Amino acid sequence: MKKIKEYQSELVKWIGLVLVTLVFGFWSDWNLLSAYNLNSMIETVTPLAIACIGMAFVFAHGGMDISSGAVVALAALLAVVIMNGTGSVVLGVLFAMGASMLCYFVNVIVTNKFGLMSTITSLAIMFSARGIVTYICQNTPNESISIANVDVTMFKKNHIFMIVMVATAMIVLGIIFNYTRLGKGARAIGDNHISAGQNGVNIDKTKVICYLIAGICVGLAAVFKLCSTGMVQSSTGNGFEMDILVCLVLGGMSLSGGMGTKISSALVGSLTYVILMKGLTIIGMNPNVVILVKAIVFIIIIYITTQRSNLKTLPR
Amino acid sequence: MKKQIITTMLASSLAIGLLAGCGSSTYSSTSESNAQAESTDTAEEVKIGVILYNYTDIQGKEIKNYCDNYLAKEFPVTFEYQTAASGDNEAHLQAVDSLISTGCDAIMSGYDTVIGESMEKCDSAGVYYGILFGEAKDEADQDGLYNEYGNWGTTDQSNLYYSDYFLGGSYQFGEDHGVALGEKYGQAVVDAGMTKVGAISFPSYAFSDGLSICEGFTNVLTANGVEICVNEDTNALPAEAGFMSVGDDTKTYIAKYEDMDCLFGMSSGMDMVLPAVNEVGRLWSESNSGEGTLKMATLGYNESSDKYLEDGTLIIGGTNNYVESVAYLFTMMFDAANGNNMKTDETSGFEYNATIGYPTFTNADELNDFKTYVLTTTADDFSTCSVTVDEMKSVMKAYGGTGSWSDLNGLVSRDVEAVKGAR
Repeated sequence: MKKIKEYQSELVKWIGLVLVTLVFGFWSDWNLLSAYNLNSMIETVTPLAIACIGMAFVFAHGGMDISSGAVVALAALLAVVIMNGTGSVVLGVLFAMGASMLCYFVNVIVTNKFGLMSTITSLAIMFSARGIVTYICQNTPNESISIANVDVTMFKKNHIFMIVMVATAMIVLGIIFNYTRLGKGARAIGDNHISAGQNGVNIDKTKVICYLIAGICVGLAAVFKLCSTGMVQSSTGNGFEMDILVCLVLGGMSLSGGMGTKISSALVGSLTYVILMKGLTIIGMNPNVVILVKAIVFIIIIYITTQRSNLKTLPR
Repeated sequence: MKKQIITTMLASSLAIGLLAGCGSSTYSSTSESNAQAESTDTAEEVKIGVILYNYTDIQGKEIKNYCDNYLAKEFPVTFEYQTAASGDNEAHLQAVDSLISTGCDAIMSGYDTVIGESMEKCDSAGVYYGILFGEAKDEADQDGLYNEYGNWGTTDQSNLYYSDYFLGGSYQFGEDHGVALGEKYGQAVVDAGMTKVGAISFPSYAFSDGLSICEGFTNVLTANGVEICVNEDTNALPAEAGFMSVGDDTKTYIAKYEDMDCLFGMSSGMDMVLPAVNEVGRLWSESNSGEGTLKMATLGYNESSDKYLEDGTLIIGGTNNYVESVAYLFTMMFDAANGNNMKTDETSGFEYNATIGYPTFTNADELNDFKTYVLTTTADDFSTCSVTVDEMKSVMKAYGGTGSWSDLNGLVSRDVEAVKGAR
């Protein structure tokens, strides 16, 4: 009976996604599903979904991160410098992941050691990363650094590759999230960290690994973002952290974490969000109103999510 | 469970509800009056997107007024507007993407921001793209290293310069990139009796013509024995102002030259430079209670230009001819969307850049002509504007016109006197 209930819970998210697709598809005379718009949505959803999937580990144990936009900028900056310097995309990707992991490592270490709220620590990371990117970009001739003579077609135009990357992230991290000690431990911490610790979960270690997973995903997302614009500038990644939050809550992610957290929220939320935004654009809504819709959806779902939680706690 | 259903339904219904409320008032111009044009002409309905930094300054207002209240009423065309903040490439690409998604046939980009990336999107979607206030440069032909710092991005993207969908841009300051314009400004400043003069402009990578304009400006000043307030870094004009710090940079610059008596504001002269000079009490003005001594020459016009020109603070002002810029791209885009692409028509004489006029004014009569024949928001009479519908139709093949790019270039490169003569 419990499994059926869980199945129904998942089903509702997907029905919501289908509903949004159908409504906007019909509304736009199915222009929503034109070749251009499908490709455009794949390009938008890829970095978002990958980052959300990684971030699910942070949210599962009750953490919170608002630095991902700035971390994306820093990781992309390092990636473009490495790519231009070595001509290797692979090295660029690895350095982007490394930079991102370093940011999240510092974040979680500071949070663990000094007992700071993760939101506050991520705020410090956000300012630091953004500051570095802004300083470096402002000292370049164009106030930006472009990808030079490196073939990034794979990350930019290969939509099959994008889908494969999202699917791989979802499957691999989905297994870790649902079936390993790490994933279960993270969710247990989200429910009650004292109880989780008493039951053998190494809280600090679990949190560190969760943040590192988020770092890998955000680093990878940064490469997709970099390749989509072809350059890094001080505004790169602006608002990305809020997009991630909206996607996760739209997918039904509980911001207080816990066993009820589903990694599928990341994928469903990202897809729903991108289709919703594209749909609103296609039917001609004023761009400023689209932003307003984003904010309203976010606030309402946060309210419902916190009401739903028995503990009624917000992220620590 | 119940609340989860509510969450999903709410998100959907919220979006749908807002669509009902706001969706109808889209950000596009209305095309109610298109019916008349459709009933008499054979041209097909065209949708054109516009991307600017904003629609609240004089440039944005002028363009929107000309498009919505003139072109949209005389042609079967709908305009969609998007905003992308200055220097935000991601926002610009998002705007391009949105306009393509909404079904635009063509996009007028205010600036040459990330052309390569933008063109990739437009080329794949079959959407025409052009630059309103910038020159189309074939960076691939320069040194083969264009892709490191050029706006065209990677090698593949630079090839899109030759795409049928890239319709080019325009010389906003003349084919000499503003040398003659600079000389005109310099002469006005000399004629006004100024003795110690400075100039401030945006960074050269963003406003490369600024250097040419300054070259002409400086040449006239030095030939007439006027002292130059040099930028200490370059030992020449202009001083450099950051996009987001024009005011502060202006104040810093003029503070170094307390006896400077004229400043050439090239970085949004009226909107950003003049107010900064006024804030520190250096502006010479009858209405200024301070003891200012600085007079102004500006690239730019706004509502306060009248007052400052009248009291002698403003020696010379001017601005890009917005109407000519829009009319140029609109004519090509509308015809191209109707199957008559000048770029692919070998007989049209297509070139990548038209030469748009840069009207200036130094006295009340010239300012009056400027407002009558250049601006549309002050005159509110499109029959006197720089390019009229009939003139555009005389070039458009969709209306039996010549289809000649040279004819079009002739229409959009007229100075105020030529426009005045044609009315």
